[in-house]
Amino acid sequence: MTHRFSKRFDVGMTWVYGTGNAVTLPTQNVNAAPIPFSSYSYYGYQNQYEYYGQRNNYRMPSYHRMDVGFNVHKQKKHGIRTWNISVYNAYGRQNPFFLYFESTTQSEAQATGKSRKLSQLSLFPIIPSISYSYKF
Amino acid sequence: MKRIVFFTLMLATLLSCTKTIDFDNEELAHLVVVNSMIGTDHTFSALLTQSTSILTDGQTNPPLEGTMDLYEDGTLLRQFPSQRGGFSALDIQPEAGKNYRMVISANGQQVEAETNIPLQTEVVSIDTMSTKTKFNSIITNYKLKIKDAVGEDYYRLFIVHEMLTMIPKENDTIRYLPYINYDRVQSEDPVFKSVYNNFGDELIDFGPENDYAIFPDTYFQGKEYTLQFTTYSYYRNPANPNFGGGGYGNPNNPDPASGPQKIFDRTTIHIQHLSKDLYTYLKYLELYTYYSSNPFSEPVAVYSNVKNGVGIFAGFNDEAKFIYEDTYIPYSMDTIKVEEVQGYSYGY
Repeated sequence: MTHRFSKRFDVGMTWVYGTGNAVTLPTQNVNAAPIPFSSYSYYGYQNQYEYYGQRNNYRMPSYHRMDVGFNVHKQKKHGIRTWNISVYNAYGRQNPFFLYFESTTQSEAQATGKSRKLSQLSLFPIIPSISYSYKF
Repeated sequence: MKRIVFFTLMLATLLSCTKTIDFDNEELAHLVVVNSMIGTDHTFSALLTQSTSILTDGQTNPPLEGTMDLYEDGTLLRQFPSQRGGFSALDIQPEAGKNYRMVISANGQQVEAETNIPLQTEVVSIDTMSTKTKFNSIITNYKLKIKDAVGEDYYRLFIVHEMLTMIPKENDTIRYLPYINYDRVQSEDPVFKSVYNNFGDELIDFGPENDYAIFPDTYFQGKEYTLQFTTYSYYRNPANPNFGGGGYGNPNNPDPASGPQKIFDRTTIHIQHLSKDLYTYLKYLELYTYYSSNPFSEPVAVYSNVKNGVGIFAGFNDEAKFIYEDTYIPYSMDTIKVEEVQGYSYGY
């Protein structure tokens, strides 16, 4: 979406939305079977494994962001000069890049009774930028 | 001041890249877990537990109680309740060539699993050749020829190493200490490498090592095949100055009161015939273990043949085995009493 206030000023805005990706996350801890005649079962080589259940069993949070840009143009002797001020991800949405399980802190564990939590890592929070261009 | 506040806010915005997200797996929790591996030389048993949430790390599954209907070749063999999270029938000895099915009711759910006990592995011959290295170790090369049956078959090779050591008298009591180890199979035989398509010349991903030493009959279906593998032993060579070393006792010790003496050293080669369920379970369990710490790999699901639940019910036949024993001090198990001693593993 763009709007031109005058020959010198215009503003642009985009909003991007995407449904979250379907991913396969483990849901359960399952005891492995003791394997007869194996040192691996004796020394806890694989006492437990993570059970995944169905493929694509979890949908990540949706992806959305708004980018806003403001342009100031000026006719110069040999062309048009443009100053641009823009903001990527204007409202600082933490979009998920990947998910991972991590241990909870002691206070979190006491509050929730859970020793792990699902966390997400996000890239690119609000990023302001300034650019200068000259068209000739 | 305004500048400091502005830059602090900017920094906080840029750095706060991680956050906790809701993950409610409660509705998926509490799956019925059944684990049972049955063989012809074991009485029937099965473990019944309940899975725990992925958000409770390090907790073993709590035992579950339920009832089981056990079928042999389609005929009801026994109906029995669990005790302390397990089913045990000391009078039921699974038989080779038969099919077993269990139907378990627990936690308001009904789970089912089915497997078969394969026939004994047909061994045509076994040849051994021992050599000594310059470091006085003994290397034994085995050539084990098996006859594969018609159809798909699966095998596992494993080596059990046992020792019995006599410890000097304490309060007029002679204590015997057994030592059991499951030796790693050392082999360049392609049947072992074929399981994970791991022939050692991969540049990037070598894959797992086939620690369970399982293999299918893909390359020798219905034919004879000679399996080659090696065992390695340092302390078994009487010419070795540290013969019986490592604290396991030198049988040549002239003064028995001064230290432990080794009584025997026994190696047993087992060539198990596995059901497809057990082969697949072991194959994927190892793949899971290998890739579980790799954040760039696809998740590996451990094989389960339990319907409406999770776990494994699998049969195997362990009747084909070969014992090689070096006896250093004559002994009779009739005069040795077996009892559990705390802090000593198992003592005789």
